[in-house]
Amino acid sequence: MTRAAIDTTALLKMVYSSLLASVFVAVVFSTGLLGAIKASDSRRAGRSGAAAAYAVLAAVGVLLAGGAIVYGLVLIARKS
Amino acid sequence: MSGDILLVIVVGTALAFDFTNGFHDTANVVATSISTRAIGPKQAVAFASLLNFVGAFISLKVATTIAKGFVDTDAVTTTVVFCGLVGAIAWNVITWYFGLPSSSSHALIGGLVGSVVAASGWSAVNGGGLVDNLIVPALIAPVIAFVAAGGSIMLVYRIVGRLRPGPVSRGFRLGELASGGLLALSHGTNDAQKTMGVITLALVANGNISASDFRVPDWVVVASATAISLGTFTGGWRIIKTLGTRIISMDPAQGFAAQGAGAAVILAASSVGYPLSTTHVISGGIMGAGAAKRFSAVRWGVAGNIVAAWGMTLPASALLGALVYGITTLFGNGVAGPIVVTIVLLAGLAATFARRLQHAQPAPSTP
Repeated sequence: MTRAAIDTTALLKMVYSSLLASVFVAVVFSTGLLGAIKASDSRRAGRSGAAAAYAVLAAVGVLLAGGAIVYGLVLIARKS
Repeated sequence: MSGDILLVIVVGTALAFDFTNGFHDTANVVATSISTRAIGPKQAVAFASLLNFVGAFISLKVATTIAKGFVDTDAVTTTVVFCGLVGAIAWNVITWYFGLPSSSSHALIGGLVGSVVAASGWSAVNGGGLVDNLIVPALIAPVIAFVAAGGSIMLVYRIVGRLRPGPVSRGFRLGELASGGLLALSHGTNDAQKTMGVITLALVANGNISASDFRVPDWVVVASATAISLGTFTGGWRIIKTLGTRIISMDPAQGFAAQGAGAAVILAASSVGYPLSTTHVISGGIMGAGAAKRFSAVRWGVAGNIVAAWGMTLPASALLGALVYGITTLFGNGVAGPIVVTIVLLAGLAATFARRLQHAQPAPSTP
């Protein structure tokens, strides 16, 4: 049976990229959700300025989460 | 001519393995979404099946690792590949029968290694490749998924913890459609490539492809994607129950975190060519999302049984691969052995499925 050294670069790449990606997407999606719920509450309370600001937060959060996923997939497909 | 007949049998067996892989792993992909009621079971399985198919076209690095990373290609014959595949299928069906979420990927590599050892001895096994590309990633990946899902859910609860639970749950159920879809895509990317790698290895052994000019033919990619997708569509409902409800009862936010972490780990592994077990990774994610909320919420006894099944997979499938090689070569080196083994395998599969279906039928109601 032959033996070889462990490729730590590939292993570390897998570790940090998956940790960063999953935490980033979870945080921005949750922030977007927070924005969406607060925007809805503010609209109901008649605070249109706050509602608009929260709606922007919701859009940014969801767009960032979606963008991160698409970017990750494009990176993987390009490398193959 | 007999070499080509054998190749056809090997490709058919590899696609059958791919089908059982999808069938066996349906649970990994859809259990979380179903148990948190983000999507209905039938829609979840159809959605996962479609994305499994698409995912198979994203990358080919894992296929290369499977074909070149674990065994000496000079020692591989089409009979060796056939026996490895039969060993893996047998292990997949045994664990499916008992509802154990073991690893199809490790079963495949174990079966192949066992068959190669039986044919050419230990010198034909690339021990470094096994440790580097299989064992170390297999140990680390579920831990990363555990930490990523746990860290994510703690941050998620900090962000949305004070909001009304109804809209939060509805929001995360929508998020689960995306994270579950991504998990299905990553499953197709990593797992379909294992079959592509094995078929390509058989094509090299049969002389259809040169070992020095290794590439996966397009028809192999399409056939593997189709087989895993059909397997996923058929579904393995027994294992869905174990993964979806017996490890932990989850809320939609936990499901989102577990699926997102699982998908991120599998996709990152695929990009560097590691053939991970999707079962291990998503189970790690589920346990992480559960333990971060309340450590005692995880049914650690069930988790322990799953870990035991994982530990058994590599040696058990290697033994089965070696055993099948021994039986097949009893009939000589031609196609007689593989034909006899294929008939026995098909009969065994039919009997197992019939028995399982019989047990799954509800008892007749008494008046």
